[in-house]
Amino acid sequence: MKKNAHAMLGICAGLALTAAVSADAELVRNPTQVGANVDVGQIVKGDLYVGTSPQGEIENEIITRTGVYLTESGVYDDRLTIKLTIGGLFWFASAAPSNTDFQNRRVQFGPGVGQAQAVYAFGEDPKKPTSTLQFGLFSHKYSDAVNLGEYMYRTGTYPGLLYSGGWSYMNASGYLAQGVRWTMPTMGGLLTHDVTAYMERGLQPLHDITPGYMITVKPTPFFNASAGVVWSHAISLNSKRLSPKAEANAYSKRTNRPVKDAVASGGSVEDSITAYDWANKDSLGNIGYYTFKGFKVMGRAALDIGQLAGMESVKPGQFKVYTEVALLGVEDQPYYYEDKTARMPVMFGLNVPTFGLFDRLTFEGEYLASAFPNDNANVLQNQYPTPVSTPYAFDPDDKQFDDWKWTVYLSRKIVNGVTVYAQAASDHLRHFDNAAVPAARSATPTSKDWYYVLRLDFGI
Amino acid sequence: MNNTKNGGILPLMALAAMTLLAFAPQRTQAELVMEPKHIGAYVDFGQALTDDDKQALNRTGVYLTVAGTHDERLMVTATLGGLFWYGFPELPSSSRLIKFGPGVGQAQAIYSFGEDPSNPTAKLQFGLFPVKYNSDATNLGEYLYRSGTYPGYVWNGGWSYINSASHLLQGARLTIPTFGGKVTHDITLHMERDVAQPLHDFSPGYMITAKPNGFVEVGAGFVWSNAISFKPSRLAPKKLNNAYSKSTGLPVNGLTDFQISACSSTDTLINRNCYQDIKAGMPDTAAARATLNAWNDCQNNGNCSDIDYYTFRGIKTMARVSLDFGSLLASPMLRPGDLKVYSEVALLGVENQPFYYEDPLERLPVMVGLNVPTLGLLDRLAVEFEYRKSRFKNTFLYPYDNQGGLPVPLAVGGESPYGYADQVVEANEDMFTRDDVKWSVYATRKVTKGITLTAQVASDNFRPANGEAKPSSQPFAKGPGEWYYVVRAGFGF
Repeated sequence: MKKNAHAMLGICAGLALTAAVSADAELVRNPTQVGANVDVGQIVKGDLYVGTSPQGEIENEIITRTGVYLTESGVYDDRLTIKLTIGGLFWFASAAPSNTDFQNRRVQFGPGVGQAQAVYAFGEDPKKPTSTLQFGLFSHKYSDAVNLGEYMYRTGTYPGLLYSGGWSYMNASGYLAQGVRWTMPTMGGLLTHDVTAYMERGLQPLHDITPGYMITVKPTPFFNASAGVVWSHAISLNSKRLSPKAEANAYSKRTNRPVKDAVASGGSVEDSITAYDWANKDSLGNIGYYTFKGFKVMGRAALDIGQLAGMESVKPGQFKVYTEVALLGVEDQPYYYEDKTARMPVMFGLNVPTFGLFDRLTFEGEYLASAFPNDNANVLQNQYPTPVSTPYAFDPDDKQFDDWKWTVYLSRKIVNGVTVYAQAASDHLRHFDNAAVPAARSATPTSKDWYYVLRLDFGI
Repeated sequence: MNNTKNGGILPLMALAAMTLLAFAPQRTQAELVMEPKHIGAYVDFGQALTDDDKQALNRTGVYLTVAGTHDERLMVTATLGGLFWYGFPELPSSSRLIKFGPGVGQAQAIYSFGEDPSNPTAKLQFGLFPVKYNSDATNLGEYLYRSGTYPGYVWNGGWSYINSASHLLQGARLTIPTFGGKVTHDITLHMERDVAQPLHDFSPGYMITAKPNGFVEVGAGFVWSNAISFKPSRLAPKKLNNAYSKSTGLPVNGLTDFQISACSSTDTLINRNCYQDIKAGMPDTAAARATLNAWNDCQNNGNCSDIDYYTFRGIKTMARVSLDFGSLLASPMLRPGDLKVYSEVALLGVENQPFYYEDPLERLPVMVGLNVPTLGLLDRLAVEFEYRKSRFKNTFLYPYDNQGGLPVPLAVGGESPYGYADQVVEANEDMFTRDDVKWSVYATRKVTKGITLTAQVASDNFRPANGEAKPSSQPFAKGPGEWYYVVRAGFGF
């Protein structure tokens, strides 16, 4: 690990020494942008979690937030673009309706940073760069998705946790990356390569560096497709955290079953062997440990039917179909991760033309068949790369959590500066408790659970 | 200063402020010139390393600065910012989640006096602003404002791992240049606002800086910590753990369970801890008994003539020098500041107090730094060392962290002072000298206009904050083998 760190220091120093220093760079400042949005909606039907605690079913719970933001940006010498967005959010903690704690009733406020990034354009003509280097804190969004999908960066690997939303109920289907992204268009833009190195800042183990690569092909204006791979936690600053050597993270290599809750006597033969292997782990060497480290791969495609069909009354993008599929963890691990299809979320979307009624009307669906819940408690609280802490409470062959997720999204600009959005969904949105800790599970675990949000957005 | 007198401080200060306002020149049509806004961000990445652990250091900060000048005389500057950060160390709980905190980097106004505001006879700076008097120090030093007095803890870093060798002062600073700028006087009055307790007290200070030529710069100063207290009872709390006997010079704390019979027959002060290997040179138990009797007499009979209490109030002094050998060589191979040697020494608490503060040398941190020439490879490469020879840990646990707000340098709650007795220290020298030396290597390089890379490797007095934003009472690095590195990519305009 020391070698990794030292190598990175060397790279930084090398970059610094070889970079050109422009003595008389010209700075062009962009106008300040400010804006705000007011969200109001309801969880029409759901199953609420606060932290890791289930609170039971809820109906018609109000959800509301008000956000503000300010963006400053400028460009040095036409080459180096610097952008900074700061903001703040009034929000309310989620809690069971019976919980009348003051902290769950008062309005909360939290500041935040939407982006703090620099983009350097290489090549003779910075307006048509041969490549761009983006670094800092910035949103990485690679698909047409409005809510679901975008699996490559914002999901987990082991376990393959799925996310949507966050501090913003809508327009949040991106990943707030901290790191570096190098984008290189080739063949006149037909092929674009993206090389990324992002630091893990939301999922465990934190601070590890995850490299990735994505290729996008755009042979015609009406079709594009991408494929990519991410090597999660490839560069670990503390490799002990990748694969904790603890009973709760151990499995028997002979039975391929978790040690935790394996009964030494009175249970099945497999249980006895598993428990025996753990008891004699040092002498037998039959114990393995689950790891966070692994590969995620993704493929996506988008077809603009409106453009393909030459529909003049439909603007580009307004009649489009798109899809994405990912394999969250290429390599199998025993018991929890033996079935690849259970780690393969699939989403598809359709932009429906409304002939001027809306700027965008989108339907999205997602399907994942899993034996384990989409629950981050074991990762966030216990730091183990397993989907649950009670392995034998679930049958890996019983995909009881197979379900559909769905989203309906629309937007319409009213006048310059004012836009209205609406979203109705059954997705992975996790609400926050009064300590700003996200719930372990979504409030809409089945496709019959859903919420809606209306947003009034205005700004200059 | 008693409470009655204190009651008069606030009205007096308000009156002084009103008087200043009344005599300030009034202009009906002051011209306001706004400065271009500055924005920036940085991404920090590094590790803290000990023999058995590695912890990530990872923060992302942003800032926005707005400034303007009224009538060329009054410059107002405000910097707002925010920081993504993680609690240290990383724990298996939700406290491990990424956090964000807003902040104010500065909120200050500077008024220039004199006929020509671009060449003022004096400047009055007030509000919240960083004071950095040792422009050469990159990490260590800057003792006068950011160190404690009793106890004289030293620290560096903070919410910014690097580029933070200064003190964010809340108060006022009057700067008077004389002799054509060769001698500068700084008079400060600031409010204690960090871990320095008691909070909110005012501490006046004075600094003089002389720069007779381009080669040498010297400075000296003092700060009278907590000189103006709004609540004097907090200065020297009348509590057992803060009491000592005037006649014996021994703290009462640690003697309450004094049990001679529990240990060897050696009749010593510290034999309750059964340091059997210590045989000679210790005070006898008579002193301990006298101390306890004095305390009991004070508590039970109201006779407190032999009892006194440690106080936070005291005077810190500082002296520094900077020698720019590079300026003598005038070589094109050297950048300005290369080959500069600088040093600073401070006495954190001029007056002795019994037992904890009897040796001024133990309150005397010294730092020395050198800017190493890199032939244009880096904009700056600085190596700094610090020596602070004290038997006490570099801690602010008792002043700050739920131990009663006491001016004593103990490092653990419930700890006995007698674990620091001369005999114990002499017998366990390695244990007490392990944290005496600190070091820091700092490098920076502008990559292009708008982007700067900075790196720091150090074993210093950096105290990381836990998940509740509370800094650790002792530095993370407790010995020379415990260190960290941080690389910062900063960008902005």
